[in-house]
Amino acid sequence: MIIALSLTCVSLLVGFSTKGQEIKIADSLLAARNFELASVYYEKAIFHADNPKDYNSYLRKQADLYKKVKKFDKSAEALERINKSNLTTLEKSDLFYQLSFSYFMIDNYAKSYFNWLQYEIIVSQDPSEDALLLKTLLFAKLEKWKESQNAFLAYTKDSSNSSQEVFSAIEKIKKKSPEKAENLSYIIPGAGQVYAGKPLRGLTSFAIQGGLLAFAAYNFFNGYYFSGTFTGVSLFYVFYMGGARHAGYLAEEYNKTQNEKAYNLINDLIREHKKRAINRP
Amino acid sequence: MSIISKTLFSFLLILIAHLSYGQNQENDFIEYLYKSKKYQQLKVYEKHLEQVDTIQYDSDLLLFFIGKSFYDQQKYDSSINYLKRVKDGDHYLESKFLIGLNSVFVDDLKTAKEVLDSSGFRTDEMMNLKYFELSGISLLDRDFKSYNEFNNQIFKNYYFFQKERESLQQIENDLKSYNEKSPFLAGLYSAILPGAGKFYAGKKGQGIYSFVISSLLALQAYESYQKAGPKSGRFIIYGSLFSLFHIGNVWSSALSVKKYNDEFYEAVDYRIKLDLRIPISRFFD
Repeated sequence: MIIALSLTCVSLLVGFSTKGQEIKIADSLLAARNFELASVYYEKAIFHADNPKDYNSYLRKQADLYKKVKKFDKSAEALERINKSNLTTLEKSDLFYQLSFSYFMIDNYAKSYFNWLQYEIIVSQDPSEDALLLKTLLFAKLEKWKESQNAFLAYTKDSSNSSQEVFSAIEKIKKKSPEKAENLSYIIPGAGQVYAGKPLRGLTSFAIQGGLLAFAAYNFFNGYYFSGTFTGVSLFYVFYMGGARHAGYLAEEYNKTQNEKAYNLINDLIREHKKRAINRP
Repeated sequence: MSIISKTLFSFLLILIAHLSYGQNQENDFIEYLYKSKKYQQLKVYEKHLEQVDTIQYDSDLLLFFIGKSFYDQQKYDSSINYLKRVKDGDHYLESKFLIGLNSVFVDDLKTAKEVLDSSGFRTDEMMNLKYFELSGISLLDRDFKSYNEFNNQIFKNYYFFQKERESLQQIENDLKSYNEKSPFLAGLYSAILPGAGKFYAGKKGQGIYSFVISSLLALQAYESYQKAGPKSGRFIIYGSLFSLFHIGNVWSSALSVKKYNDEFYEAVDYRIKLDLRIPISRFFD
């Protein structure tokens, strides 16, 4: 009788005990795709964790959850909270890779690169395929085409020349200097725009400034000195300075689109490679 | 007592102890979510706790921290909704002060006064804090008489509102000595001398700019009138350009002064609200 009673009481207690169960609840919530609540239960497990190992592993689970639902900012936040002093080298390198990945996904390339460097220093064996893929894209975003190419070759393990063409084409893409565009427009109005790849805008700019100068000259010639100065010359000055600055801006825009194009070319290469990998028996 | 009832009794004790232990853990977790600014998770957890009835927790504590998290996120209406439902507990009085502050931020000064007036604050600190808050709210209302009354009711100058109290006194002086500028005068000044109205409104750069542009346009209109005559297209164009610019200038001078006055009062209100906010967080946190 007593034994039976104690058993019921103990089972009751277990039912109410939450410590240690939180992580199980979180895992099952995750399995049931209730991501929001699962993240809260992971947080609860993190809060109640009584040793550094559990603390780190729960944070890692939470970060993985956020990664799964594509909330990379939160995933990075959880990963940053992990206590690095208790990790093995392998865990550490994986952590840096995950951080680099999360920051890459939220377009924070500086932090992504920073974590990538730490990953590369401590990683002992060859980087995984995923890591090489990240490296290819990250270095392409940072405009380090040579490193991006090396990572791509290591990723595909392919020394054939199909990708060589694309990368050498990318290297050949010339940048336009915003400063040069600005200076060109100071010498000949509109020339900077033509240099930045917008000939029509260059022509318009040239025509407006020419027209204003002609207006000023016509007025001076007919004795309208105030109109000539304050309408003709002053407006000309405004368009002259503005046009040059605009040319510099256009050159910057040109560089941006060229970088994007190059990045997309690399993206296409990766997609093709993946397609081939699937089709391969 | 039989052995069975003894056993039952002791297990019951353990069960109760355990339940309160579990409840404490829950309360700690709720507080932790608030303090680590995981506001969204706090909301998700609240919904979860509503659905599950096996978890024991202090509902007043939960309502309070959710209300406070909304206050931190400057969602004052939602904050009031939650804080109003706090019925008891350690944070009951703090939630009254926060309801007052929230009401101030949604410009509902009447509610703010009522909440502070009707709540039973017993300690000296809280009573003085209440008078301080009420004096600030009166200043927001531009009710100088009540401001002085409440200010005089403060019988002990506590460190947590001392500075802000001085600041409120300064604001009272500023408000009393402020000379409102007249939009009509600004327009008139600009009509006589282009840009003068902007100067009067305190926008010196804009004043100089308007003056220069107006005179340049006037010069060109004058030149056209002299050389091409009043019926020439040239004079009509420059003349209308000048007139348009001049009328626009008069109008915008008047607007600038109105804005100047509005900005002054907005800045004052902002300072008062800040002064009301700081002592509460200093006292309770």
